[in-house]
Amino acid sequence: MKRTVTCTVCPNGCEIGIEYNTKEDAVLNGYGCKRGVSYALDECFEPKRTFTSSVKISGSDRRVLPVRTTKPIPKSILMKAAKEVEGISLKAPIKCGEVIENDFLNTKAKLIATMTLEGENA
Amino acid sequence: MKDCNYDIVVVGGGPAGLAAAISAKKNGAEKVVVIERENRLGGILKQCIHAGFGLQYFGEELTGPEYAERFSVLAKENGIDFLLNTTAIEINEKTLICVNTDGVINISFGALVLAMGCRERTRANLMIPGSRPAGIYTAGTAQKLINIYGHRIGKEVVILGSGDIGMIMARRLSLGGAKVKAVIEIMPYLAGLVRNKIQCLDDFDIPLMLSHTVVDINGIDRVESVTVAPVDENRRPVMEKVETISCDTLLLSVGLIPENELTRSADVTLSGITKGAVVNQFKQTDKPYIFACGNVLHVNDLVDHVSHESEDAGKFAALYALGKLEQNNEIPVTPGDGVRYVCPQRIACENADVDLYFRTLIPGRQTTLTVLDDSGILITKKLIRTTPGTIEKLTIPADKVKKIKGKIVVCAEHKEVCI
Ligand code: SF4
Repeated sequence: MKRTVTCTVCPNGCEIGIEYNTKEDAVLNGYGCKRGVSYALDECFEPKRTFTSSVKISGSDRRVLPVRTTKPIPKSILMKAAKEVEGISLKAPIKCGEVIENDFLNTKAKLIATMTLEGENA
Repeated sequence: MKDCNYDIVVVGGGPAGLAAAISAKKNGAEKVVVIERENRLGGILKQCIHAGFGLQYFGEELTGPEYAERFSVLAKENGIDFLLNTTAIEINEKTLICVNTDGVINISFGALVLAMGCRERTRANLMIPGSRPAGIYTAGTAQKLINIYGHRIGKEVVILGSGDIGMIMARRLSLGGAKVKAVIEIMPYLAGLVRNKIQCLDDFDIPLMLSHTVVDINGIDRVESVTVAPVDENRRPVMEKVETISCDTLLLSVGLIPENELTRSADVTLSGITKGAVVNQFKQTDKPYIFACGNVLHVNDLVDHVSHESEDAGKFAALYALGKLEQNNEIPVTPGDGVRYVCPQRIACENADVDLYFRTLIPGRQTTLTVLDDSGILITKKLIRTTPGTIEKLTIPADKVKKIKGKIVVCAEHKEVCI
């Protein structure tokens, strides 16, 4: 297999060429630094993204609370993650960083609140 | 609230204003107040719930609200005052006139920091013909409706403009179950960051149509479709080749304009290119008691840059208010070949490093960036690639700043142009 991956780790945006049969025998070129190597290998074999969305919340002046995963999760389950958080409904107050789910979709990533919302009467 | 007096008044409680206020306080200003027209601090970051903020400033990847909250917590810890739900309406010499539900408040200051941010260009700015149905939003308005109010805005979406907010909304809408049919860009290259093309468009198989534009919007009550045409090298639509894309929603992500109405009331000189104030490296305008930072000065792509720049603005505003900022002779800084603009536009030859922020004109690879004065090259830097979507930064070291002759010019030369 042959692929080109644009590295997004830093603004240089190196175009990294990869030739591989398995992860172990992959040959890379075009990377500006080592971080690009692990990025490109991840992109080919297990692409991951930090998932961000919002969930319903009551008892605040805002109707939705922004959330994210504490680490990137497999790209392939992003749509599933979006469906999953649609079912979540919370109550203010909540603090930025508070854990909403400990093991989000069995990814070992936590789902956390990314904003502090005081209760309505605070 | 009664009329009052502060050492430093900051207009705007977004990332720029908060960083400037904290830095002013740390650099000796005793009384600092932030004027914010909304009911919460954080500015535009409140609605930017995606990740990607803080990689440079904090060395970790945060979402917009988290980045804002770190700064608002710091600001509160530093004893900065806040006037929320308050709009600044006019600058009259060294007094800022504000209004809120209490009425009119006159705040006199030692120095003023402008940090009002920017707003989006709209359909009216682009003069797109067609009817006026529901379903047309700027990308930032759509972002606010979805991320703050929890609304859904449409099922089949076309996005005009490949700016960052538009691409980020393409992902947000796709994850929300909408079908994003295309992102249409009039230029032959991407307007936003490459990272966003990969993570927001490619990940969801959304086609990017470069060198295309929307020439008509169809539908009476609600958008039913848009007419799209390729453009020639002069950006004129080729009407023989139009196609229709059915959709119920059109988002516009076609650029941002610094919000400088207040600045004009003080007669501060603005740049025709950045649409922000003309400043020196202290972020000081030609009214020496007025400073500017963040997107009201020039539209940034990374908030991390905004924080650093605004810390400078706050620091030098504080020094000015304390009578510690000396006024030296200033020399002009101008964009040369391949560069669209440079900020600051003037520098005072002090014994300190000077950061120059600028954008290139067109994307290219193997770019050589050069800073020259009348006697020749001061610094150069080679980059693998550059695009107008990314701000570049070069620093003139202190020992060279002292010896600058004549004026400064910044140039960018690509070995290979990427169009
Ligand atoms: S490979 Fe290294 S230098 Fe190139 S874009 Fe990735 S992180 Fe940046």
